[in-house]
Amino acid sequence: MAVRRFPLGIRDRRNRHSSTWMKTVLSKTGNNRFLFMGISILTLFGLLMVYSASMVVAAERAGSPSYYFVRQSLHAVAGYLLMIVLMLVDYHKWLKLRTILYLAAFSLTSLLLVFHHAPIKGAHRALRIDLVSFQPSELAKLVILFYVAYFLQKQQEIRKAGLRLLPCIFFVGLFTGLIVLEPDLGQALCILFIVTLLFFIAGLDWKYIAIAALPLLPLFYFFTWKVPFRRARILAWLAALRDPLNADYHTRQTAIAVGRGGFLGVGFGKSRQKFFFLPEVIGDSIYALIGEELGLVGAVLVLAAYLGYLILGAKISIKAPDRGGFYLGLGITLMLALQAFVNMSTALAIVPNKGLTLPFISQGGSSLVISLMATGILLNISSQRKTHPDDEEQPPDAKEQI
Amino acid sequence: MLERTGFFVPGRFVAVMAFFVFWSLLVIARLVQFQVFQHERYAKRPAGAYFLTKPVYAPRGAIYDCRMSELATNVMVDTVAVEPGVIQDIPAVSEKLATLLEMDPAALRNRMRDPLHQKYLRVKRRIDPGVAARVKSLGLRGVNLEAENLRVYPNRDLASHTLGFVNLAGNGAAGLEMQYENQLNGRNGKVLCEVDALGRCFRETESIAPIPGSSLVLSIDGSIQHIAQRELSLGVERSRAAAGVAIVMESETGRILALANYPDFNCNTYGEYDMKLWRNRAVQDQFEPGSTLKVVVAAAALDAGLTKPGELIDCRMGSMTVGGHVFHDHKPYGLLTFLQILEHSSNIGAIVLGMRLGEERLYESLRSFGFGSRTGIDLPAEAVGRLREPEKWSALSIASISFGQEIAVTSMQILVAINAIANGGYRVRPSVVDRVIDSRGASVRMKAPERIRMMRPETAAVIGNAFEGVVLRGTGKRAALEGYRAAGKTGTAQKAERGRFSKSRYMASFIGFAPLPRPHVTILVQIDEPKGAIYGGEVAAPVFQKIAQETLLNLRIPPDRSLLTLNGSSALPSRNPGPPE
Repeated sequence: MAVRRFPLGIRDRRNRHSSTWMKTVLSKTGNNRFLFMGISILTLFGLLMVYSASMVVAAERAGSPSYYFVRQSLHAVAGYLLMIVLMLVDYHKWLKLRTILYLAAFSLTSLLLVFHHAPIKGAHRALRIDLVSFQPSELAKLVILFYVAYFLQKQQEIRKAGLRLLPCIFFVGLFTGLIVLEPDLGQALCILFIVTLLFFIAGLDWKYIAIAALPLLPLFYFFTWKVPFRRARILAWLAALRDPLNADYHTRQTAIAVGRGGFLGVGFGKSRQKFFFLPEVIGDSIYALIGEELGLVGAVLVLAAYLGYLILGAKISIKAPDRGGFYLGLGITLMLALQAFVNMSTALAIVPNKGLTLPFISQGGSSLVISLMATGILLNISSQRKTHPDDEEQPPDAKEQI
Repeated sequence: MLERTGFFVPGRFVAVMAFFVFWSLLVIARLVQFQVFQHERYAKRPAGAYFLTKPVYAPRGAIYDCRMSELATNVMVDTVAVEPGVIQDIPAVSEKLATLLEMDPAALRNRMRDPLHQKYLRVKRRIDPGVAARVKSLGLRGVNLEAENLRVYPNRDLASHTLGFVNLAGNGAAGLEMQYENQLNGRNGKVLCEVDALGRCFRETESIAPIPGSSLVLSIDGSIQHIAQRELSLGVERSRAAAGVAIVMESETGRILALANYPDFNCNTYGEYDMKLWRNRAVQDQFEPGSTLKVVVAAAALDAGLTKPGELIDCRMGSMTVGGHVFHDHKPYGLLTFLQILEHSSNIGAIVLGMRLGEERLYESLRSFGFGSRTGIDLPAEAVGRLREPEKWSALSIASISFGQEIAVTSMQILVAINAIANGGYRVRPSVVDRVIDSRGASVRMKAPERIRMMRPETAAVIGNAFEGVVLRGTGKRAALEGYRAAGKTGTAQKAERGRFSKSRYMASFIGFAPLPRPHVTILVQIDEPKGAIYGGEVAAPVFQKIAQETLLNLRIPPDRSLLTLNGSSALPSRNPGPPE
C-alpha cells in the first residue's frame, strides 16, 4: 500500500535535507491533498472572518480588537497540529479504544453537570481550565462516532439487527441524554440524526427507524414545545420563514446582515451589523457576517466549500479499506456538513436557531480543534484507501497498526 | 431498490447525498432571495439604526461692557442623567446618587423605576464641578454626565436688570438676553455619527460646524454701573424707601452708561428671587411725573415764543379754577418770573403756560418730547406711558397735564426729555448696546443714535441756566458737585393710589446733568416711597451728587480748576445764594 512507503523512523537517503516526518505527512496528504489544502484555506479564511467579526466585540469586552483573533489562532495552530497527528495515527486505534474514550468523554461531560461553572449564555457547555475552555460535547460527537462505526463494522447483517441494536441505542442514548441535560439540544439532535443516517445507509430496516423515532416524539415535544425559550425559538422561526424583518431580534438582524450584503458584499471588515447589532457575531452568526461582508459570492463559496467537504468525505469513505473506516469517515463527513448546513440555514431563517457553530470558521476553540481533529481522522482513512476499487473488504484485524 | 453491495445500501447513500445537495440549493435560493431580490429592502431598512445626528452646541455670545470686561459668559457644567434600564441595582444606585446630589433617595428611586423613563432620565442639572467629579469616580454603569452650557454672570448682580437672564432651555428670558436673543444665540452644528446597536457613537462621518452666537458690547460702563448701584442702594436704604432707579446717560448720544434698579437680583440665581424684582423699573414702570413735567411744559412754551425768561406771570396767589375745578399751589405765589416758576415749581405757573400753548400744541409738544411713545431703547417690554389725545381730554386735563398729572411716563422718557436741555435741544434715542461682534470677529455698530431737534438751543440754554440755579440756590443744593458745574431739577410727586393722590407715598427724584457748560452725562435718580424726608432735594439729590461726582472722575473729565480749593474741601462759589425752598 502506498501509505506504507515511508514508515516513521526510516530515512530517505536520496534527500537528506527533507525530514522523514515531513515526507510521511506529505505522503499521507498526497492521497487527498485537495481536502488537506481546502481545509487549510478554509481555516485561514475562518481566522480572517473571526478577526473581522470580533474586533468590535473584542475591543469592548477584552480591550483589544485582536483578542479573539489571537485566541482563535492559537486554537487553530493546536487544531492543525492535532489534525496532522491524527492523520498519521491509524484510525483503527480509535475504534479499539472506543470504550475508554467513551468513558473519558462521558465523565468529562458529567463533570459539567456536577461543577456548575459560570454558565455561558445559561448553559453549562464548557469546562474552563484557565485559558482553554473546552466543550466535552464536541468531543462526544467523535467518541459516539467511534462507537457507532465499530458497532456497524462488527454487524455484518444489519438489516434485521433486532435486539443486537440495544447496546448501541443504550450507549448513544445515554450520552445524548447527558448532552440534552447540559442543555445543548442542538448538539444532541445533531448526533441522533447522524447516527440514524448511518444506520439508514447501513441498510437498517425502515421499521426499526420508525420504532426508534416513536418514543422520541413525546420526548421531542417535551423538550421543545414545553421549554419556553425553545418554543419561542420555534415560533420565531415560523414567523421568520415568512418575513425575517417581522421576526425576533436575532433572526431580523441576521437577515438584515445577509440582505444588505447584496451580490458582492459591503467589503471585508466593513460590516455594520457587527457593531453589536448581530447577536453572537463571532460564533453562531458568523455566516450572516460573511453574507454581509462578502455578499452572495462569498456566501455561496463558503457553501460550496462545505458541499465540497461532503463530497470529498463521501468519496474517501467509499474508498475506505473496511466497514469501520467507511462509517467513521461518513459519520465525520455528515456530522461536519450537517452542522455547517444547519448553521448556514439558521442565518437565513430557514431552520430555527439551534446554537450550532460553523465548523472551521466560528470562533470557539473546541469546535475548531474537534473539526480539525475529525478531518485528520478522515485524512488517515483516505491514506488507507483501497488502491483498486475491486479490492474487496479485508478483515480489519489483518490491518497493521502504527 | 435497496440492493446491498458491499457494506452499505448505495441507494440510501445517494439519497442522503441528494438530500444535502437539495439543501444546498435551498440555501442558495434563500441567499439569492435575500441578497439579490430583497437587497434594497434590507440595505435601506436599518439606516436609522446606524446613524445618529447629534447637535453640536454653539456657544452663546458673551456680553461685554464698554471696556470689554465680561458681564455675561458661558461655562460648561455637568448634568447627571441615567439610563435606568441598564442599571441592575436601582435602590443602591439611587441611594448613592441621592447622597451625592443632596436629593431625596426615595423620590429618586421612584423616578428611576418609572417605566416611561427607562432609557433616559435627567437626575440633576448643572451640578458643581466637584460633585461631578465624585459622581464620575463612582463609575456606575448607566449613570452618565452630560456636558451642558451654563450662562454665568461673573459680576452677579451688576446690571442685572439690563442683562436679564437665560432660562433653563438656554434662551434669553429677560433683559438684553431676551432683546438680542437672535444675535446672542448661535446656530448649533450637527455631527452625523455612526453608532453601534447601543446607540454609542464610534465614528463621526460628517459634521456641520456650529456658528457661535454674536457678542454684545454695551455702552454700560461696569465701573459707573457699580457706582450707580452702590449709591442708589445706599440712598434707598438711608431713606427707608421701597425702591429706586438711577440712570446715567451720555447727554449727546443717549448711550446708557449705567442703569440701576434697587432692589436688584443676582442673574446667576434669578430663580431664587421674587419675579417682581426682575422688572426693569426704569423702562417698564410708568407713573405720574408730577413737577418734573412742568419743566417740559415751560420749555415748550418758551420754545414756542409764548413767554420770555424774564416775563412776570401771575400765579394768582396759589389758586386757580380751570373747568370748574380749583387747582392749588403748595405755597401761594404772586408774580413770578418764568425762571422763578421753574425754581419754585409752581403749579399755577405751569397751568398758565400750558394754557397759553393750548390743548393741541401742548399735546404735540409732549409728543415731540417723547411722551406717549416708547423711547426705543433696546431693552424689552418698554412701557409706552399714557398720554391721551386731546379729543379725549376733559376740561381739566390741560391743567392737570401741565403740572404732571393725568399723564403717565417712564423714567427713561423723563430722562430723555430733560436730556434735551443738557444737549442743546435734541431728543436722543437711548441705547444700551454699542456694537455686535459676530463669531468671525466682525463688528457691527448699532444704528447711529438718532437725534431729533425738539427745541431751540436758546430755549435749552435758558432752562439749563434755571437748572443750574436749582443746584446753586434752589431745592437741589445737595446735588452740587465738587469741581464741576451741575444743573438739575428736583421732583417730589405724590403717587396715585386708587384714583387719588396719596398723602404719604411719594416719588422723590432728581434729574440733572454735568458738567456745564457742555454736559457730558445726564443722570436720573428716583427714590420710590421714601420715609421721613420725602423731598427730591433731600432724598435723591445727594445720590445724584455721589453718582455724578464719581462718574465724571471715572470718565476722566477734567474738573474746572476755578471751582477747586487747594485743600480739596467743597468750595463751591456761592454766587447769589438763594433762600432754601
